[in-house]
Amino acid sequence: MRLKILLACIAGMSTGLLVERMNESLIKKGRNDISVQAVSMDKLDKDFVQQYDVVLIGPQARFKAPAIQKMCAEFNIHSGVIPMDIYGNLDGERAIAFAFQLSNDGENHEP
Amino acid sequence: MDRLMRLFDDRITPFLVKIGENRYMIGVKDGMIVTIPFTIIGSLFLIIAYFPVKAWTDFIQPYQAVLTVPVSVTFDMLGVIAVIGISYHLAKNYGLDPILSAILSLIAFLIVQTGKVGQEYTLTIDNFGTKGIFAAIIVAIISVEILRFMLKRNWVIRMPASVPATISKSFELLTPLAVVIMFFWLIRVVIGIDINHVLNLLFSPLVFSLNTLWGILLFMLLRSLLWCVGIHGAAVLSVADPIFLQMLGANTSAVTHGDPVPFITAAGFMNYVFIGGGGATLMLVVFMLFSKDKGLRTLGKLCLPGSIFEINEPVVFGVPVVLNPIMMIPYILGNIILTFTTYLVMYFGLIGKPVVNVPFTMPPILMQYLSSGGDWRAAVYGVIEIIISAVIYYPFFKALEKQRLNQGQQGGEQHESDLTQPMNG
Repeated sequence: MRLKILLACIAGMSTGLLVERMNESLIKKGRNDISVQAVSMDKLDKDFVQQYDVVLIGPQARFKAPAIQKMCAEFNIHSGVIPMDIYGNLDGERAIAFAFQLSNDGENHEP
Repeated sequence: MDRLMRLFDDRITPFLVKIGENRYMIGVKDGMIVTIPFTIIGSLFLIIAYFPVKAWTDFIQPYQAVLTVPVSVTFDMLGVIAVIGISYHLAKNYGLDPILSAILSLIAFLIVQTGKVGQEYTLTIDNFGTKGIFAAIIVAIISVEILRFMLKRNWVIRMPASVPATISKSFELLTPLAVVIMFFWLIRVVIGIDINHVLNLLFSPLVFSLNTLWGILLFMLLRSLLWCVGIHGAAVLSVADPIFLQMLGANTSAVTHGDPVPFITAAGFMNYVFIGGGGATLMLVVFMLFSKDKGLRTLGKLCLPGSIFEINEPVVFGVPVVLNPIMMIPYILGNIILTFTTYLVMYFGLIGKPVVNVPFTMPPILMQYLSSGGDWRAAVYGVIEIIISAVIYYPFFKALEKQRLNQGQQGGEQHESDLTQPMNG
């Protein structure tokens, strides 16, 4: 697996909707080297996040972001809050682009 | 608008989060979540045993006592489940042995719920349910804190390293267990203070105010405002969850004991209000489906499946409601007006109060029907709520549509180019 993306919100419900869209977009592009999963916030602990490369946080849970980002940084996992318009439009393609942007850390690799 | 967002992000939310995110509150919250599956299963039996159709109740009457057993061992044991859940999660958070901590707290809870009947000391089983929830919270916190303190000070019996971990852990528990038992035994049995009663008295103003019309309206307003700046209101205000859950438990036991149902704003009340998610946005989504604006139509289609199951983040962030003056007004009004009407129809006994724990993803109408324990009038009220929310949203939807149509071509192209952006970062 090239990139393992984890999405987290309070109950893992609305991120679940976005994950569905992201998967559709991945299938359309024939990318089977990227995996996407949604969970509820309370699942995020040190052991759990280490299984992923990028952790994306739902904007409505951004008040939890500082703690989660600190935990992710410990293991060099990239993390960020999903921009509201991507989230609201359930824009799977841009959500994946956003994950790549975070994981490349500004460097401009082709995914 | 940005200033409103900053006010919440910099001041109000951190303040509320500070209350909600301290170790104790997280432990209480996670521990209370443990009770939910039990209450849902208990609720299933409650519906079967007390389904409010005369032909059914006549038929089921002889079996009612049998069917009530699963309700009793779930709802009437909420305090027990809570003390185990809370101490487990609190201990886990501290890095202590969770299962030993849970048993330690359970024993402490049992001491607290011991009463003197005549010359004998017996367990007051009546307090094992919702009446014991506040005691469960406090006992769990105190027990785990005593354990943690004594481990930290090394006031425990340590076994040589050669002894297997499980055994040495049990021995470590000896002194804290003695202290915890002595502590609660002294207060409850020797001195004779009814801890459970005292705690219920202390918490009663909070329970009372959240069950008043103004209390719940204020709570709803705060929750709506949080969502209007894009923050998960329920998560930030989860401090109040144990109180609402305690009310629901009290309502459910009232049903099984044939008493009048006491609490209006019990857990589930808000599910009556949230038609298609917070802000009652279902009808907004339906209007969007038939909009003249293509963007709104597309978004409507995107939002509909989630909205039917009361998940409306795409509405909140997509339309958006967040920091959008046109949509913030009906969002807040939707919550406030429907809270008001729901409270009143329950107050005057026109529809049943929440007595059953239904998952929040239950579609509207069905939600009201099931939450009230199968009251058909609640289902009818659900339909009325949909009409009320349609009336609230329609003018604002029209204004939004006009605004988007006026923005015209330029905005549309902007959006297209966003979508077709290449996937690289």
